[in-house]
Amino acid sequence: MQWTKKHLLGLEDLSYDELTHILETTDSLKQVSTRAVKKVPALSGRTVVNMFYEPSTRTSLSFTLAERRISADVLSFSKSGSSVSKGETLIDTAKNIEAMGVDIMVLRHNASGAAKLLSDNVHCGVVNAGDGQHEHPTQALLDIYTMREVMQQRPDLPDSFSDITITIVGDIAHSRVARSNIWGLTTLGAKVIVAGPATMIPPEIERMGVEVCYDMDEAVKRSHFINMLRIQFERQNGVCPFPSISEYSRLFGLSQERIRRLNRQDLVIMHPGPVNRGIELTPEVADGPQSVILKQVENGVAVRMAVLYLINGALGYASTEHEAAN
Amino acid sequence: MAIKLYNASWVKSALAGMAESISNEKFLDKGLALIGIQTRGAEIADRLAAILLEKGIRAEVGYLDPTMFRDDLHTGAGLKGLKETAINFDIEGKAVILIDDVILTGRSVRAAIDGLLHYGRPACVRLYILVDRGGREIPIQPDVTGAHIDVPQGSWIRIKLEATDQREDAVYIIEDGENEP
Repeated sequence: MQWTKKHLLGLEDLSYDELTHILETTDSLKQVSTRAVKKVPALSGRTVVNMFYEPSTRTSLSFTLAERRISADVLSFSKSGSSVSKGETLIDTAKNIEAMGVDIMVLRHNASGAAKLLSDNVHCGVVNAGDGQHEHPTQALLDIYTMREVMQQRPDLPDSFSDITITIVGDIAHSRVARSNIWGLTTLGAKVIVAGPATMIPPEIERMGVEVCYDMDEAVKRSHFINMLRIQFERQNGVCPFPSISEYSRLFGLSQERIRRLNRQDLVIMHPGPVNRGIELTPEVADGPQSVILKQVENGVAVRMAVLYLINGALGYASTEHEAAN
Repeated sequence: MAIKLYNASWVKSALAGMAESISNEKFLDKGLALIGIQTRGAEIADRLAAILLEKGIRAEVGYLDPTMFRDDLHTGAGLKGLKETAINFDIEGKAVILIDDVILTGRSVRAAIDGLLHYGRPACVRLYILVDRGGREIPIQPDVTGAHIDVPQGSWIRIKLEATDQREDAVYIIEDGENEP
């Protein structure tokens, strides 16, 4: 297929073919990190700016590394220490940065829809690195890529997403990671279950094509993969959505005891990070053999290289006809 | 209409000739690696390795997709999908034969050499091409070719190979806008 999108705002509007194309492109880019020289010149002469209006460690480092591995020139700024703290609006900031000759903007913002707003107001490509409670497409892509890789490596797992069940556990209401995962996984044909306390499950979430389960044991029993989310205390507006952390941990946390009791040593355990150890995952589970958390982080770099590579190409695709070169 | 220039027996003898040339290369004692440029260069590399093995010469085989190193990515080329790059051995200090089916502008080969050197520093790199159709845009020339065919602008060489195309080996010439053979 021919990739034509110059923005990645979310997985909601990606087709099955587009998702598959990103995953296959990631295969090639992952391979770059295994070479003696871990760099390709694909974005040589292009400039990417990372605009992070929210704190981030792994996403911002992962994007920066991805950009450097495909030879882009990289600019970064965060909310503190920039003109944002002087009251400049997102669009004003973006237009000023664009005027300097930037090609792609990577945006992390606390407002849902910020990436779309940005893409409507600038000519460069836009990659959503997380917007409020809306979407975090590259995180979901790296989750999905990791699942696909585990499926390819483990003969006891089905080889097609249409035969796979994934449970996402935790603060579904506030989670852009959950939303992007749900869009991407359901488009690929997977069965998605969301689990958590009723106060953390948005009403009518079934309309997104998922099943709701309030019983963690049942969800664990039925799943091939389980994606454990962090409770986003910073987004609860001061109201704790459950009686106590220890109760949440007992009802919805994943421990060795639960895994042993349900005999699910084959369950693949994922987490988008940062992990609140002892709440959603016990340390021995987070660091145990069933966890693919660090694999997810590793794949994040390759996925972001693939996304930036495709978007860069789409920016130039325009009207040129391309003959297969001899 | 596509015109068939060469049939399967020509391809077979051209590959035999290329294998013979490889067996006379210098530096073979340092280790021999055949790197096929995706897609059809990869099959040619496999077939040359098999012929060389019959002569008692062992070669490691790798495949390279040079897309990431193309000089026209900013125009939107390279978005139709990437092929596998698999060089699962060390090329450092070895004799490397870079292989492709057709050479025209030389730009793919330039990209492939750039990509190759990311894996290490070979003792030498030789360029083996099944069909050289002329029309170079940059100064890169093959060391060994199966045939040199002067093809006018607007015409294209199309090579079909058993494993890649699931049909008999052949070399065709087609004109712009014509259906693939």
